[in-house]
Amino acid sequence: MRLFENADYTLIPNRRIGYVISGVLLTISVISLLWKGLALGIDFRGGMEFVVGNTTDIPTVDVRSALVGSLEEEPEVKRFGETGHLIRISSSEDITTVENRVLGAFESQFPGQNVQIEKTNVVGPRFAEDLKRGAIYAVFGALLVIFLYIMVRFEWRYSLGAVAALVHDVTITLGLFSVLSGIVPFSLQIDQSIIAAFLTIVGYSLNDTVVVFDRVREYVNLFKTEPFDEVVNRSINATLSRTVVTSVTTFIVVSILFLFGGEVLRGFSFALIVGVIIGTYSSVFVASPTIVELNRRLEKSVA
Amino acid sequence: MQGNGFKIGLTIFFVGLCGFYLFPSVQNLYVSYKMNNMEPAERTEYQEENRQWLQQVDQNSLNLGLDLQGGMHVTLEVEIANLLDQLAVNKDDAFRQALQVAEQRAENEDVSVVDAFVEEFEAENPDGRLSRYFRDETEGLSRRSSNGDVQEYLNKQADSAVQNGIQVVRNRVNQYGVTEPSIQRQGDERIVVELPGVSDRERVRDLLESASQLSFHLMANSQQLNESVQRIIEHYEPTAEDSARIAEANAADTTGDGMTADTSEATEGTQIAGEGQQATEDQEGTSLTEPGEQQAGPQNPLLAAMQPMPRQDQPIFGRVFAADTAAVNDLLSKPEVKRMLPPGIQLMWTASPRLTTQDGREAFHLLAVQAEPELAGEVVTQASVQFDRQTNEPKVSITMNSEGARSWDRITAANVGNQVSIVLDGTVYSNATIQGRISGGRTEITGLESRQEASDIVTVLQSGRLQTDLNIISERTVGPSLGEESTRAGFISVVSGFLLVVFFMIMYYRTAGVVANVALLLNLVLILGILAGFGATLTLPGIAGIVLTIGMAVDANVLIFDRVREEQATGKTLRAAVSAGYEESLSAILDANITTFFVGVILYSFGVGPIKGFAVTLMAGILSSLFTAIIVTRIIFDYMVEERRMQVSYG
Repeated sequence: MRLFENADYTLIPNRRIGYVISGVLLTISVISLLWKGLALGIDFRGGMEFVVGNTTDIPTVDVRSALVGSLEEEPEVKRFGETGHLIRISSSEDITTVENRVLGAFESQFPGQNVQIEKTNVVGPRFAEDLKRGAIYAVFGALLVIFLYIMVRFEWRYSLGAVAALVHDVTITLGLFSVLSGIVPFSLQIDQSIIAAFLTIVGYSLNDTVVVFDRVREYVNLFKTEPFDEVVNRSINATLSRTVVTSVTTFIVVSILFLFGGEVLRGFSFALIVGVIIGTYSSVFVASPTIVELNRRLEKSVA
Repeated sequence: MQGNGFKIGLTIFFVGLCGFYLFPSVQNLYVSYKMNNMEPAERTEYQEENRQWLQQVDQNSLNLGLDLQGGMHVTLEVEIANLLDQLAVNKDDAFRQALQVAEQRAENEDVSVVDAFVEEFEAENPDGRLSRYFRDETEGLSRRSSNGDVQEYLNKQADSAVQNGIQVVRNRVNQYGVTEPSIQRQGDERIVVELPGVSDRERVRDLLESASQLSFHLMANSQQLNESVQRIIEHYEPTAEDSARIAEANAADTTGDGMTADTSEATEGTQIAGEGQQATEDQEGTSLTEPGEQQAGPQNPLLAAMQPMPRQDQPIFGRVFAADTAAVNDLLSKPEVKRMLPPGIQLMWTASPRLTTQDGREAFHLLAVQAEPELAGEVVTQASVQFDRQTNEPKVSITMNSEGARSWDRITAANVGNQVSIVLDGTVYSNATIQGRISGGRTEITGLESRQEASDIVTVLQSGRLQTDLNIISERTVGPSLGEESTRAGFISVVSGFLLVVFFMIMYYRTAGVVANVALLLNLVLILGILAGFGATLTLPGIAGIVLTIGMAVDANVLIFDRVREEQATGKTLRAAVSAGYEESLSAILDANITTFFVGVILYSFGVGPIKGFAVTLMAGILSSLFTAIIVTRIIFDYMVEERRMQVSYG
């Protein structure tokens, strides 16, 4: 089977279409991020999370109203898998006290259900600060290292192109998290695993970009007489088959994680699915046009 | 094909190495499968017979994270600010303010409490000397010490407080009876505790967070104790005949540290070494475990878990293996049983094992201690390890303040010949016989087994006089059923992801796809081998990393294959196209993978807990996919194209 063999699409000359798509997506993302914001998970905010099991027959609304009475603040309640509920409380009280209140509420309101706590996750405010700091360091550290590496292996224009694509990908994925949070039936709160997913997206998108750039590097020497735009367009087309195949295999596995990986990995694999799509798109429509534009500006200023 | 000998050798070496590291994991899977099919009685017998081997296999196999096997993960923080407050004298407003600001800064910034405190103090009081708050002659800290010296001293104190915290946690966990707990230091002031299979969250929290306090206690009268031991055993006795066994119980063992006034000779030192050898394996077998099992009738639950040790010189209630401590705690915590103890007596575990069998099992003593402390640990002003001038044996020297010395004089005078114990946190760290009245506040503990034992006691005395508070700052627990569900979900994801990618590759690249799939399968083995070899833990995010690697690992081969197709399109022969395909795509493969590897490194350095697991598998995946794509598939193609002159289809 062969896909996109001898592809000859006019991608770079039509890059403005990409600018419009990216522009719209980025605008929506930024607006949503500013207006609606992101739901931070307890990793970065501090608080408690309980997963209770054996609540298949209890509607989420009833769980919430049962808990409101015994807890001091209103908890966040969501379905967790098919047989349980996830309860989030931003309390700084003693864990055992809160846990007993939760269990007590279930026992008195739904006797005979044998509700049990399957999972707890408690993060103190100080620990949350540390995790937040670690996440910020990790994201910026990754961007910096990538920028430097590409600069050493290629040149600064390529570095800017690669990092522009990464910022584009992460912003849009974050934006999607912001827009969809509360709409989709699974949790889209930003926690440590989502940060890990973002860095993986960064790695993946970069993978794609580097492959295209590598070909540009090769063709620049091979087709010296052709204008730079043409060379980049030719490079993208030459690597298109590989870009598509790798995206397909990666998309297959992240979809499987999303479907079969269980409730715990739902948000994580969702971020990866979005990332694979956006990352593939951006290496063609963001990273490559960036180096073309940079090259134009540079030639103009030289001439 | 020439020149491939090295590559083939390398491949065989790596695959063999991974096989070697994975072998115990496979054994473990097989053994647990076999044991699941056994009858309960047969299983216990099998476990008894192969205890050592089973333990070894278990230790060497790939560790599963708590999110997969269920358990409790707790991060504790040592309250350093509180420690500084306790260490300081002449506290004034400047001190309190600096400490308060330092505490806040440590919460919001990446700085330790001690460093923040010194910085704050110096910023607010440019000419201020920290030596006015902190004095410690044994550490060489005087009125004239510079702020830098004080800072160093405080860091050292903080460090030993954390060390001590770890020791305290380890003892508490040991008493709780968890199998394979992990207790590790994280950063400057944190302790990470991992307890597989623990589900009683409330008890663990209480256990970990309770304040520790050092004190000196007198102990029970041996004769009185022996009578209660008899009564309690009888209480649990289902039939009368079993009581006869108590008499047989091994009365060997001759531990006993002597506590002497000032400079007395250590006479007992030589007797102590015998401990490990006396209780050999078969002795354990006959007196501890087997009798109950061989008897058809009901057995005494207490004797099944504990070996009574009637002794004249030490109030030992019994000897218990680490695995049984939880059961014994349960049996002895019943109110009607507690009432059978001599009045005012409490049972406490020894901090360190008093016996280690040849197969590595550790046994602790349960000692009868007077619940009311005679003296609080604060009276200790100094403790150090010293050596006897004549015998060169290690001993512990303790100095007390005047108030403590007065009480100590009175206590020792009234209890010559009795035992006294050093108790931290409800655990006995040392017990010894009072050899005579001790006046003047200088005490020595002699008859110690090793220098290590002496320095352990000193650590406890030194840092134990300060109260170390441990706070839970993060907790993650996963119940066993959710863990099982996650394991199953992870397994399904790996298998189905693998199969789909394999199918896709064959569809797309035909013969070449089959080669890529061989590489992919090898990849899985290599990743798991790397994880097992480095002793890494497989977590759910780690499995996600493996699934992701399956999808991304084919990328290197896709790059190569597409290049080969391109080269073929230019009219090259298959042989030339394969060769060019590998050479031309190498730079892209390396650049793409190195950058992703960097991302993995960064994720590993800043991530906590499960995220680290994800980063590790991601990095292992990149390394193994580079290896298989560049070297292994090349060997296969060279063989097919050059040796066998096959027409390999690239789809």
